[in-house]
Amino acid sequence: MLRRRSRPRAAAVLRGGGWSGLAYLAPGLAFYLTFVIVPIGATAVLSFFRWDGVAPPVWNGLANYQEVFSDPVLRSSLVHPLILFGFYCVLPVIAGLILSSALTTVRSGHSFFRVTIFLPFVVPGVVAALIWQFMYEPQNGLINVVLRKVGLAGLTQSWLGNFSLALPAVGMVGTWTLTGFVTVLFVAGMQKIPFDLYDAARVDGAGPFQQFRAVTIPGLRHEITVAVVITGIATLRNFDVIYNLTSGGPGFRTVVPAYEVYYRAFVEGSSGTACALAIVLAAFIFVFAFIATRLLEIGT
Amino acid sequence: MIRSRAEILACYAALVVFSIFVLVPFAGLILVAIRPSNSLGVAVNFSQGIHLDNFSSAWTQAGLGSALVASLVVSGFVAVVGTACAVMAGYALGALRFRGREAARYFLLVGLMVPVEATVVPLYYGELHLGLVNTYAAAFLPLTGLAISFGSFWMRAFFVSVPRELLDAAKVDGASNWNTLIRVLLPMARPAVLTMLILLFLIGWNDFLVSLVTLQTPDVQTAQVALAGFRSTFLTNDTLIAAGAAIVVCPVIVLFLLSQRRLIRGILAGGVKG
Repeated sequence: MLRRRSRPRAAAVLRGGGWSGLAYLAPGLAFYLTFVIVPIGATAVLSFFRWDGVAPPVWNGLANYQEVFSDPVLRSSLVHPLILFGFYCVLPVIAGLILSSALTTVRSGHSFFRVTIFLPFVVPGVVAALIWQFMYEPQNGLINVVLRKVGLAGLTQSWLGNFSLALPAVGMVGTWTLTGFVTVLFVAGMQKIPFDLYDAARVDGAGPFQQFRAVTIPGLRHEITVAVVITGIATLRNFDVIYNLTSGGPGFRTVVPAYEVYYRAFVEGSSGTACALAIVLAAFIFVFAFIATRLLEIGT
Repeated sequence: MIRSRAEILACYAALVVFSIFVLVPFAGLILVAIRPSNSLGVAVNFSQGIHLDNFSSAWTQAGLGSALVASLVVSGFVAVVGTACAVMAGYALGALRFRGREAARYFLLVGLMVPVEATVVPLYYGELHLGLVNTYAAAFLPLTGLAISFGSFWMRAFFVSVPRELLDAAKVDGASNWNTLIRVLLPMARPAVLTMLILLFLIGWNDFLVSLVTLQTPDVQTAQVALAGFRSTFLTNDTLIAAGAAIVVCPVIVLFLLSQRRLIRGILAGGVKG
């Protein structure tokens, strides 16, 4: 009797619920609204104004957006991520496939290798940039010192000063940082692939490479998508490494959107242009994440 | 699975080669950090001695001590307040039923993709207007806001996985929503909450852009910002910069090694940059 009476009441609370759930959301939503939604809205509004951050903003129509796509420096900042993408996304995914296969095959040292390979991912961008600055240093950097020691002095370079090598040199930092993340992601995915599939493939006469192509890659479809989306966003948002390693140089050869947003707004005082670029960057990230998810999840 | 000896050797070779690629830059940093101050060259010959005093000069000369305190305050706030908000929001999204829940979920989903860069300009001028710039709050408030989306979805995943019967039973026993959360669910959620705390701490500790823009005076600068400033202040003194970088990365590496299983699982689930 007692049960019968209390049951509908409990169900009513769960189903109807009223607005009480919003009370639990309120603190988080307050932070989120104040520090994410309102600012991004303000960025969108400011992107239509000419503003130096001091004087009152002046309506500028679409001129800031025109500038984003016509200013040579800003244009190259939008092109550079395409090259960085190879180092931040393509290389880590390829290396990640190899390393995760290797990790699931070896019998000992598994946890040592996993921790080592993942380690750079937790290193702050500022420190990663400084670490690589010491690697690339022309006179005493480890890379050139080793090249001289092994008799390849001819290959020594001013890695970050060279107009065509600076961007790949920055990219290498991304490969160093992100490969461990991608590898560990793939290892987790591989553990979900049923062993029977490999057995079946072997019975059909598939060698290790064919097994990899026919079983592992399709089995990792979801993980590959996640890896591409996250490393792709990391490419587009690169700031810490550029700021601390090259500051966009030499001669604007390593400028990227996030760095230009910072530079235009806080060094040069063209906040309107910075906001337009920031909105373009946000749009690129949304579109990229959307397309990558669609293409990869359906495609393979 | 049966693997040939050659296959296994090739696997070890790949892992060893990549581990070297990962570890050599760290070794390079240490080599620079321990060589005699103001000297040039990588200290491959140890006849010049190991100069651990570089670490103490980086600490004192460059004011790294106060910068580490600033980092601790900022990342501590982001971790504690961010986790508290995320637990409540995740509970609402995952276990409670109320009007507007789905709308709130989609609304928070947007935040997973908003880049900081798209908020930082108005953020700075807004904080300048409110007199917040150059206070710790100028960095930890927005960083907490940016962590809400990720945190809520991470905690929601936990609350969704809780068996429905358990929630119903708590209701039948007359527990209020709040008591269900505090007495029944939180004790179960301890591993998820701990992971959340560590992840948000790392996000706060590793932040650069927000801190760079909002903390401009040396007395409030976080370790990352102070370290970035080293490059211009101690342009010719690489040893000091390297020692400073080693000090700043230390807490992160210790935290990672202590909690690597939990942390890797958390990062994979959330796909965040630590």
